[in-house]
Amino acid sequence: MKRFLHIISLGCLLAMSACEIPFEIEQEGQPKIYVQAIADQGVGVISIKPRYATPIGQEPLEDVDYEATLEINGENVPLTGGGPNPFLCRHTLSEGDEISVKVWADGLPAAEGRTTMVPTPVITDMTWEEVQADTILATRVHLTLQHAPQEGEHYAIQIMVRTSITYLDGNTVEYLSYTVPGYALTAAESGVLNLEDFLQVNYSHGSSLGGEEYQPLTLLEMKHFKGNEYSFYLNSYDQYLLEALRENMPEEDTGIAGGGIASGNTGGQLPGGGVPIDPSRIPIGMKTTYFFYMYRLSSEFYYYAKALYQSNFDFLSNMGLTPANFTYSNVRGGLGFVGAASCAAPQELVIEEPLIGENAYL
Amino acid sequence: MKKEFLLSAALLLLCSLASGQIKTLQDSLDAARITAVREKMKNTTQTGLMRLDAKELKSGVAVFGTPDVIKKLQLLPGVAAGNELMSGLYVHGGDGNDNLFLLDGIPLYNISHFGGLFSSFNTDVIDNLDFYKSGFPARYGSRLSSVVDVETREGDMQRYHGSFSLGLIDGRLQFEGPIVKGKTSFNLGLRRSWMDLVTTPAIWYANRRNGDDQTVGGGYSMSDINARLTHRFAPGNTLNVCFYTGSDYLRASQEEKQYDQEGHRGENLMKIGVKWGSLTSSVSHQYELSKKLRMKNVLYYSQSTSNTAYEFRFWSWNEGEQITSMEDANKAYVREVGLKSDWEWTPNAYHRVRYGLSAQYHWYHSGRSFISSSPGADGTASTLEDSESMGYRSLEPAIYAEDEIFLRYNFTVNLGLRYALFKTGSKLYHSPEPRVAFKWLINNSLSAKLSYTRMSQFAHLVAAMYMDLPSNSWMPSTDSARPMTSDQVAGGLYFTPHKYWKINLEGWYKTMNHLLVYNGSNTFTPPLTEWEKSFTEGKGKSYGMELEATFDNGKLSLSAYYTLSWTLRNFEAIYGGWFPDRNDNRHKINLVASWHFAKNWNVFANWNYHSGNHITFPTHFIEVDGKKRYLYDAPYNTSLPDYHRLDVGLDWCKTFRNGHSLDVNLSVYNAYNHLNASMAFLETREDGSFYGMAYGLIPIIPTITVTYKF
Repeated sequence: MKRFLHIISLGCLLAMSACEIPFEIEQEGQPKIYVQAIADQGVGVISIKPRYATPIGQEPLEDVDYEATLEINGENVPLTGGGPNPFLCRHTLSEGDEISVKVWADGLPAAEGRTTMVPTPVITDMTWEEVQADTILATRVHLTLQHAPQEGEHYAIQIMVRTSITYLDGNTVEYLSYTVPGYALTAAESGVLNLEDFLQVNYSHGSSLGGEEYQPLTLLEMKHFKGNEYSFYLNSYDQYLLEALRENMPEEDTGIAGGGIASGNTGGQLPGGGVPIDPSRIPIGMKTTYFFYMYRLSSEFYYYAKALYQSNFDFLSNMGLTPANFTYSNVRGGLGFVGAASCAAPQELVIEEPLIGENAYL
Repeated sequence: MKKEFLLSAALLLLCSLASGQIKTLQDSLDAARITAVREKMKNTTQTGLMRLDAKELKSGVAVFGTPDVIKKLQLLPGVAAGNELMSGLYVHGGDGNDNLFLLDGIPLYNISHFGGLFSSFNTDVIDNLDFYKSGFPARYGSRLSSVVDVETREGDMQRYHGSFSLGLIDGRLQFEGPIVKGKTSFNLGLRRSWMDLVTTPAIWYANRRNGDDQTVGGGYSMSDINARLTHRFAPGNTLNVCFYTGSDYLRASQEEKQYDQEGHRGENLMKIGVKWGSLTSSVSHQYELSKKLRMKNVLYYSQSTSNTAYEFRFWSWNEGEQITSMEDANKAYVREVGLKSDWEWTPNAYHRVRYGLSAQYHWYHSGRSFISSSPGADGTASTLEDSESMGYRSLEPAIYAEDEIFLRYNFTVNLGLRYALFKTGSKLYHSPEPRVAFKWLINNSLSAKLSYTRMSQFAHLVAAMYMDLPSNSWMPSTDSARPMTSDQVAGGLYFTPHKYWKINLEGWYKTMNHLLVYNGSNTFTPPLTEWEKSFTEGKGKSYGMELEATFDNGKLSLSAYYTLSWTLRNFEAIYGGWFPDRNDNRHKINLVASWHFAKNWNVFANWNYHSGNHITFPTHFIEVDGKKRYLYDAPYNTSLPDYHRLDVGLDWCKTFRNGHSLDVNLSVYNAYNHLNASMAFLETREDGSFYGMAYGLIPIIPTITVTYKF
């Protein structure tokens, strides 16, 4: 019996190893120009970032000098920069402007793409409320647009957070970070998880898409809006930050954790008979300013951003089990995209929270 | 005694002579059939039609011991098979979900068992099959790419007979005969897999050994029942009642009892149950009103259902009695009630007119529920409960008419028009579909044909994956999911240089509009609510040529098929231009041989070759912040290694004195054990160069099938 099992195991092993079929990839091996051209009406800038796209299997070269032309509504527009650096153009853009980009370099096929400037969304109202669900207290924000998004229109939101923490010694430290709109507050509210609601790619305002720096841009479509209103939660960031602050508190028995400390500058000596501590380590107040950037995106921008997300996270597609939906490009002769974005005037939400005293978090 | 013996011997001699006569008669009938089919194909205006009879469908390699209709069709030119061993049928660049499968005229929505390993058609009861790839007659509609019209056989009106077959994983029983001799007959076919009969006792034994702490369960079974009742009121006046049901049932469970440090007992549980299948029933009446006019009326019901459910329970013994559980259930169905009335009128020698109408009422439903419970931080259970469902009702009436007009100088033209309406909710679509075919009989052995057809399809398969999963569901065209349409021009030369030879050369050009492709991420099942938004719309086109050469003298049959084709897609949201389809197989060659080399012996072989399916590999990279980012110049930019496979088989037949016979079929699928690529990944060598690593899954599969005919 044992011998039989050994033979079976050996057979299985042979069968498994025989399953692998290495094969050579027949690819053209032609280097191409990768272009990221973004026309951002809010910033009033058109940036064109060419890169040398190395064919798989070849060593990357030092970047080359590029040349580029930009046409807006058929007219040539001067560009600054260039060579190995990005091209820039400051230009007042309007809805419907036709933008054409062409980039070329010695020994590389020219890359061309075009897009149309999208209208700028207008936020007419912003409201917010505190929401209690289970044990979580969160802020729910409602942004109202002037026009309700329509089928086929693409939007995105980016949330920048400026956090100012004031310490007991009077110093204030500011942090700049980004967060994402909370889709749901509780498991019960989220319903069946739909990954389409979490399409996020990094976007550096008017400059580059898909960089490594955490600047998440959340892609939105009509289905994410209720009429002309988009609602979301702000909870995760605060929770994490407060947790981090709590962990950084001194371990001495300050009595802070138990509350009951009067607010105000105590000059390093806490009332209640506690031992002296370093006032530069005691946060007493936190002011968080949220900046909500609502974008309208051109189809090319949206499709490319979605493809970027899917190439990073869609393992089923990458295994060839579902359609390959991560290959979008509208650049002829090259790779990348030429797209347009237009950002509404950012909305600000300021939330001030005492960190010590009655009803404080810490 | 001696007299009786002599009488018996004489009877036996007569029987054996008669069987020899019958055999000779059968051979001559076969030859006549072949000639008749060829003549018919030569004389009709029809392009892209292959007609297969029961004998052809049952002969050849039977994978797992079951002759399979779809795998037979996959061998034909102009057809791509998709995933190996599955029931994929990608005809002239189609999507695989755009084929009209008719069983006795009734549409079947689900045509496969076990994820596509077998088709639902039991060859024991099939009389013939017409497979249309182009030049669709006006009586067919509602699918873009092909029509597979399967007709079951009327039961024998004179005597009872049947067969019993045992294959590698299933058994089949077929029985037919008269209910009232010469007037009423039945034909019954049953098929069931018997794997669960082996796995059930094995699981029982394993559980007994494991004791109470661990229990496993599971099994898979599939079954089919085909039944046909025929009553002849008079010659040319026949009533048929047809019934089919097919189902699959897969279940698996594992229960594990565990104890924590304090001796508390808990359990982990996993349970999966999947059940899916189809059911059709129909009543049809054929009546020959006169020599010039006949009609066929059919009333039918068809449904396809799928139910999947799973349940997981994880007991966390370190934290006491806390339980994490998850339950998920999917239920989907499509139901259809239909009425068809087809008429054929031959007013004179120059016209053959067909006309008719049909109306179908559909119910589409897909529902999903989900309950999850997990211990919260404060020890209380946090429960997530949600469900979603989508349901539609739709009406699809259509009328059609076609006239085959025999003109002078050996020209024949078939002019047809189908007009279909589709109403779902408040949305009404209408689709005029012209059908034109033209034939020129150049001489007795050569004809030329040309056809143009427009087709539309109002049903969409909501599937995320390239697999025939039970969780896939059908949905109708809606406000935002428009009906798919196709236009196809096909033409060719049809040459019969000798009564045993046939050479056809056909070409086609086909465009498809409003195709849908899944454009979501990382899910086996697309969302149901607003399902259209998970799909993106695009276009497709396919063109190519097919060459078919066959020799058949009744004993030796040789066929060679070659296809040269291009299949492209254009989905704006995925890629800004045309790109190859996943099944864009540039070359396809099939060589099929069958040799009746001795009495009772038949040997056969077929060799299949096609260019590899396409996958998407990165073609370039850039460096962003010191990291490589891979870029793709187009979808499906890389071909997998070419596919090739040889199947061989042997039939042996022994006829007994009582007229019963024993057939043994020995088949070897993938005889030289060439593992063909199913999926692939990009790999890097030590020197930094790249190569593809494909994985083959299907090795050599020998099977034996024993059939006893009585």
